[in-house]
Amino acid sequence: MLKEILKVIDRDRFLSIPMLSKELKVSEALIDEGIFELLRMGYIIKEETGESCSTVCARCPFAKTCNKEIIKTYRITEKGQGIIRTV
Amino acid sequence: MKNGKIALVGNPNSGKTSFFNALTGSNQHVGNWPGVTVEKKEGKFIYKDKEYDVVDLPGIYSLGAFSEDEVVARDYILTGDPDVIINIIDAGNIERNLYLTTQLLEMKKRLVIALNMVDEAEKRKIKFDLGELSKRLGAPVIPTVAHKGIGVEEIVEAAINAIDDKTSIENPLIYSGVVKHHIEHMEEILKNNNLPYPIEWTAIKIVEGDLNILKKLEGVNVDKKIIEDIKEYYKYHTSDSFELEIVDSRYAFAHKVAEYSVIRPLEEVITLTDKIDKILTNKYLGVPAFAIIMLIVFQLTFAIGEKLLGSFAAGSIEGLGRLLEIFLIKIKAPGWLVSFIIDGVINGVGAIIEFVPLITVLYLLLGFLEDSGYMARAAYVWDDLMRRFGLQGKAFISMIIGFGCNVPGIMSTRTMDSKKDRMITMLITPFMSCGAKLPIYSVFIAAFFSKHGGLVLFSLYAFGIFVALIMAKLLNKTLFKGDSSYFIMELPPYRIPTATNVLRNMWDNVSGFIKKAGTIIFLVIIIMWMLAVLPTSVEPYSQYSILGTIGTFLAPIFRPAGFGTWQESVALFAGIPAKEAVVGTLGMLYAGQYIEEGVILVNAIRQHFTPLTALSYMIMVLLYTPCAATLGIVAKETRSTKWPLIMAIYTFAIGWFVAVIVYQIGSLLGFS
Repeated sequence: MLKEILKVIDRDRFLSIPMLSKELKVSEALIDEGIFELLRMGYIIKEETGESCSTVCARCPFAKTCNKEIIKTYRITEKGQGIIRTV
Repeated sequence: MKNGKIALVGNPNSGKTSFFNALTGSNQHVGNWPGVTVEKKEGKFIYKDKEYDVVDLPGIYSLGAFSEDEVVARDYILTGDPDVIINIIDAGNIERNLYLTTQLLEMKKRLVIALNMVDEAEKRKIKFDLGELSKRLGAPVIPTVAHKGIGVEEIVEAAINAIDDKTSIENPLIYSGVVKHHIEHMEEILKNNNLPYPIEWTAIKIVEGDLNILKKLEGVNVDKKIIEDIKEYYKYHTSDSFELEIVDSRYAFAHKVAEYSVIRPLEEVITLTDKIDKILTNKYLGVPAFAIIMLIVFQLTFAIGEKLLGSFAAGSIEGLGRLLEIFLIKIKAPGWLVSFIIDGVINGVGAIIEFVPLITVLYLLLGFLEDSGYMARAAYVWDDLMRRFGLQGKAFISMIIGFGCNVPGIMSTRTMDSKKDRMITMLITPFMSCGAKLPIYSVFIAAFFSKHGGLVLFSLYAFGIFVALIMAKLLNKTLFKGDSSYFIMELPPYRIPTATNVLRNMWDNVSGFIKKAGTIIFLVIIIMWMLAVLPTSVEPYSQYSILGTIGTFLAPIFRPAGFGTWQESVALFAGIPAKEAVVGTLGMLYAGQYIEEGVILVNAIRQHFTPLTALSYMIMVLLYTPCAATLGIVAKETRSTKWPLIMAIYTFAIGWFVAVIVYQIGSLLGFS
């Protein structure tokens, strides 16, 4: 299942747990767990869109609006790409 | 007399604690596991005159060694020697829960499965073939509803029977291919060595690459040769993919067991998310849908923020100004103080504060979109288009963030691993209309385009994106050649936005806007006011003041774009420290001049601009040099002064060029 998750997200370029669940015919909870395992094993990495500002955030009037994670993004690592090539 | 130890193992929220309470009642003790802060719950119960110990292990999803909870649970199962494990499984979430079960099976421990919360699963029309489930897992399976005590007695009976069962335990999960070969090879190395752990499990963990197991073996009395063999295995034979194969096999097993023993409703559930996504993420409809949504946002912003609330705010500021002026005259305040407070503060900073309602409504609506899960779809549908312009969809995320403020938009490019994508995105993000530009557009829209405010505002935002894409293509073809890296975006299910999130988002932006008006912009306005009233020998706010002299020098640059007065020129330059200062400066210079005649800024704008020059001015504001904070962050991110300098000059040139084109073509076509 993990290889299939990698293959599908590489093909679609998006990660939707409900859609993966439907396509792979497994529960959303299992997909969720699979994503966690792929992250843990380093096949995908989660990227943070809300980067912290190491400068003078405290003085910035918009500091509170800065570190929001509007969209979660991931990247398939080299290790992950290697697996996709074998599937 | 003690007759056995029972361990309760299960996922978090599987109902394990209800089980523990149902078994032990008040006869329990809570402490900590040695050396860690993980809670240890122990208890006792008596069944048919015999006493049994029960240990409630921490809720876990797997038996790796990745958290304290997992280590505690794993160590107890291995070394605490429970006679039987009651594995509590959430019946509604069986596949995920079975992943842990597969690992318990690998340990060859005697199991009893409590299929808990079956009542909830039945409500969702999920049925179970308990015989099949039991057969595939090689353990008794009892349906339970622990918090109601249903099935608890049957579980106790099954557990006690299991304690007395002396038959051998088989692991029904059999690995295949290379992994199987490696496990068997490792079992060969490990056998006949009196290991404290099950051989098959130890072999699996070594092949899986679990270094924790090596430490454990080193800590017990195991032949040194074995330790060396394992180390050599880790060094020369192991592979990252074995871990994936093993984990994947467990998932496949869990899925297969569920597939054969769980009966779900047949009809495919088409969720609301599916229905909405058919349109919003459609290859052809996605971008137009985004445009329509944004148009609605801007129309509502104008209808509610400007027309409904804006006039009230403007009236309040004006009223406050009059009251202050009367008060200052009454107390015989010096002329310079009256001029500073009324012309500088009220007409300058006040002109910006008037737009708080507009900003409030805009961020309320954008917060609604963000919290609904739509923004991820917007970035997704733009990904394809962005690629055609040599960028990745993540650039659109930076651009979306840039709609609020360009600084975090530029900072968000840090997640791009391609330098090319990063540089291009940084250089085009300033074309996004940040919140600070909104008051400028609003003044001009109110003066000339109030009937179509939302549409004009939308067009400006869209034009900014258009210019950004063209520049991306140009930069991609010239300065930064190469392929774009790609990424995976998570599309969360749609949800009804929560009032707390939406209001917090709105408040963070509005309070930032107000704070900025009271600090940076206030400072800029003070400087502008001083330059406008000095030297004292000339008429204040005249072209002979310091500000007037600077403006008169700069004005010819902008004449081809149709707005070449000294006031309009210096206002643009005042916008470089902070964009809102454009409105503040115009407010101070124009409204200040006419204050005695009661002409507010919008009316003053009408006198000094035409619809065509207003349009070219707004385009200049949209595209020209970004604010100092944005240039500063570019300097920091690129660790150079070259790029902010290039950014400052090239954006100014583009702004000027497009403004001139708009004005000249408009004039040729007969627009005024």
